[in-house]
Amino acid sequence: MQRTASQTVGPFFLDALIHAGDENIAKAGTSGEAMILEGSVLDAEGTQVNDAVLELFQADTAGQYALDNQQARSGALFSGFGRATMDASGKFRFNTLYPGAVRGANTVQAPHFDLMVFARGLLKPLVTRIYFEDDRSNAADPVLALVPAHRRMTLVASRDTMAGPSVWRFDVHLQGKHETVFFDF
Amino acid sequence: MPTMSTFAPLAEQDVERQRAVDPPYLCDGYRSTVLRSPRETLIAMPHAISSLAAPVYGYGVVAPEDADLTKQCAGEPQGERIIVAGRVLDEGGAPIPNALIEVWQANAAGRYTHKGDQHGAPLDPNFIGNGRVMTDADGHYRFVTVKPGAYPWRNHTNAWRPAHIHFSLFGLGYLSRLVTQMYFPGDPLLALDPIFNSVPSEEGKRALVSDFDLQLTQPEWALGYRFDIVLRGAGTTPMEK
Repeated sequence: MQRTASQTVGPFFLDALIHAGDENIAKAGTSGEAMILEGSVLDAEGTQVNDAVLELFQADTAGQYALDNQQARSGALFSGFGRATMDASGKFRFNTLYPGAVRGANTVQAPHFDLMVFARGLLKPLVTRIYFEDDRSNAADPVLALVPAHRRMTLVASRDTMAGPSVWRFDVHLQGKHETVFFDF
Repeated sequence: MPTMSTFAPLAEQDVERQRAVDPPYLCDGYRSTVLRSPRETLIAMPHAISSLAAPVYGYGVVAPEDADLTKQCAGEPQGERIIVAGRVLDEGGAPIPNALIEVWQANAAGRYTHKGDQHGAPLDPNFIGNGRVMTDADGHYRFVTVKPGAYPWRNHTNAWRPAHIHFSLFGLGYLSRLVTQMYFPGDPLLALDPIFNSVPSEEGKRALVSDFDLQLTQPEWALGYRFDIVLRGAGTTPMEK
């Protein structure tokens, strides 16, 4: 059977998709290195996109993903999934834990988030990854290795020490000189 | 859950198949795509990511009343009451149980309960327009609402969106994630709508239009529309072949 085609999320999803607390991937009291991810989504002209919804998927501190929907919905302290839209200043924010490296049979993926971007003007989601500046395991990451070296920095969040000791910043550039690397998946 | 033995890039034919189903990012008729579509070539994601079983929607319990958009306020909303039902399947035709479906829509007059909607049609104090439902063990879902109205948008002169209900679905994994729109049969605006017509194939467009269903229709109460949804399934990843 042919898959059902994607259509844009449009501009009016707000109360249907975003609920208070959706941006909290780790609840207070979860063990691990707490962190905040902040940033903006920018269009080709550098204008902030204020009507995007972002979904972030991640492994836990040990590099493990939720095993099934039930576990993810169980109200556990760590869900591995969050949603956010932009605040009045055009910024998104996730409260979470620094993820662990993800070990496969032959590979180790550096700590990362998977990010899906939905917005008016996006007829299907954009998928990208967020790695962390100065994480030594980035050098051996098999996905980063597929990305031309000069574009890898578009996938790397940087510490925003002005904003706080555990705040990381990542901007999504939909198009333009600094266009973020997006993936077919 | 399949495990990764290699880190092979996504197969070219799978990428091509995706492109044949979904709209392109840049769609000339849909103005908002111009500044928001990437221009660089997308990079094929290794299959490892598709082996994620499903870190999905991690909070909240869907209550039965979430599936009746006509009963979320003190009174009944204006408009034509409808039942929307169908099945969520994977590409092999297998039902997807426990899929979370979130829906949102304009009211019968074509106005969203959203501060950004400036259309001069009336809000309905008895209609919010958001709902949630889970599929059952056989992939069936059903919700009750009112038929949304068409509304104008500023994409081009005299542009009107055909009546539609937004759907967001979580299947069994990351690959199955889908946000789409359900349309109504016989709507004359479909032929004029750049969003609907961004879907490349006639078959793909046809699949976004619900069917009027007399079996689903309840006498003296509500018209029934059937809308089946096919998600990309685990069966499409090489690990499962």
